[in-house]
Amino acid sequence: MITLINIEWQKLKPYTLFWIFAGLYFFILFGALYITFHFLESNALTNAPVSWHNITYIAGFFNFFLVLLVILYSTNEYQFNTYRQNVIDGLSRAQLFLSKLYINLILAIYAAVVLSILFLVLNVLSSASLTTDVLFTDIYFLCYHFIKCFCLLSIAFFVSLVFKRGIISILLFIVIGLADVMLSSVIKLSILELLPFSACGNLIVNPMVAMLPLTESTSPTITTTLYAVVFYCFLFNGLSFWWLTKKDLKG
Amino acid sequence: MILKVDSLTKKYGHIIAANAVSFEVLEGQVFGILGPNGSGKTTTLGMILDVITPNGGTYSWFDAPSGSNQRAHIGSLLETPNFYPHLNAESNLRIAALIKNVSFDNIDAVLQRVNLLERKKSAFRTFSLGMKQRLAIASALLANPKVLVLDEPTNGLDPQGIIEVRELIHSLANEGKTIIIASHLLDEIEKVCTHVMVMKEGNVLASGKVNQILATSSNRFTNDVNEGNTIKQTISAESKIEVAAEDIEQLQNKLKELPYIKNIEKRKDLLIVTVTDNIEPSLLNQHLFEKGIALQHLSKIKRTLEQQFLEITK
Repeated sequence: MITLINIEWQKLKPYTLFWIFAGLYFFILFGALYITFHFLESNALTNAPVSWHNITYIAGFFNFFLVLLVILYSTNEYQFNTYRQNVIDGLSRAQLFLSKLYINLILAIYAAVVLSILFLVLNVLSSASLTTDVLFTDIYFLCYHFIKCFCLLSIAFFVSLVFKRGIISILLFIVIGLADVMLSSVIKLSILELLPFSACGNLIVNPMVAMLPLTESTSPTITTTLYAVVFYCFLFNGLSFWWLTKKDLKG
Repeated sequence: MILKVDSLTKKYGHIIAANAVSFEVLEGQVFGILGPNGSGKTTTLGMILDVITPNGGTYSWFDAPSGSNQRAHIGSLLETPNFYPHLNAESNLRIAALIKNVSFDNIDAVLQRVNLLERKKSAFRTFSLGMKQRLAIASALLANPKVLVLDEPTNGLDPQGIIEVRELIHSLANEGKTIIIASHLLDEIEKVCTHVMVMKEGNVLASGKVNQILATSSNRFTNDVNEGNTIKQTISAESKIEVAAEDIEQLQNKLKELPYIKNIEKRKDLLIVTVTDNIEPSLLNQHLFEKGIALQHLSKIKRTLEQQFLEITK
């Protein structure tokens, strides 16, 4: 496992795009969160601490940076024919899959770590005192954020394997995502809310909406949604594994 | 046994890229796979290197069951050199070294061997095609493998590069390495291989020792008929020689007097003569000189691969 991560690290270390995306993710997320909470602070929620729910909900919009990174990184390997070369050099196809799985996991962990840091920073910046209550209330949203991010990266990875070209994969990821979300919001069928992108979105719903008094809802419960997202993690990684082990490795 | 391939088949839709290809490679052989572009050479090599999934058939390296990872002990160059363009030569080889589980200390030695040591810090994308090809060979040598698989190793190289690569292959063969080499160049196979398999349109046409399959200047007809090897067809012992002299007309007339001349074709300012029994140009020259003709030009025409195939498939 260490060797596989080391191999990926050797590839990523001099890869400018990797640093740009990883850096942009951090700074833009920080900027966006700062502006949001500063804005909120000066309005309704004066001095209220930043909650895990709020911060993970907003951070959800920025997962796309990591999705782009995963797609470009993976399609590059097709373009350079290096998936093929890695196997020729001696990696098994399963190892090829694992090395990318680890990277996706590490990126999802990175997203969670970045968010934890920003959570602390923003709470220090707000004048709320850092009680254990503030720090740990609803911390399970951080887990949701991690799983959601990993699920999206798993979908992105599979899309990149199928379509092989960066731009096409990115566009199709967006199109599939939009179609998924539109379908589930136009047709009011609770099962549609469990489509991959919708389920990821529903895992951390808009905190404003969540604050509204509960109406009769046929939506799947959060537990069902969580199961669905975990299921998609397994499904898409399983598909990627199948694709990498059974198909020809040609660019 | 180094490699045993049994009935490997690959289909792309209706096209059969490799049709039940079987062969064996023993230790120390320099095994050539010869065929024109699109004959299934790369497909076959891709299957034995696990990057192309066969539709049928099996293969095993080093008598080990398939699935166990043996490729780290095989140095391979398949089609074009594939490296990360944004990484320099050394970093690219580090990745290969990690995959092959060998020390980074080997990197300088293999770069030295292919004359790229002074460029080790240059990004791969800045390399010329010849340098890329040499880096690919360096990568293949990294783990000091017992077996090398080389697909068109001189493709795209200039004459100097071709000579260097062929010398490298010779010296590797002399070190006792087993080499499997695919090429569409008859000349190349003839020069470096001990054994050859000829492919066309996915089928194996012939296989055996190089001097039996491809000899252009031997009397192998009398020798090889009963050797029981897998030659399916044999090639006639005709060859072609280009000649020119001051007086082409006179040359043509004198040539007609020679018993072994089968055919004379006239070109712009030279003649192409077909001789039987693989008469050497030196003998032809001697006979013409005795008839009072001094040749301006004398050259043996290597049979092209297509002609060779026509012969084999006849």
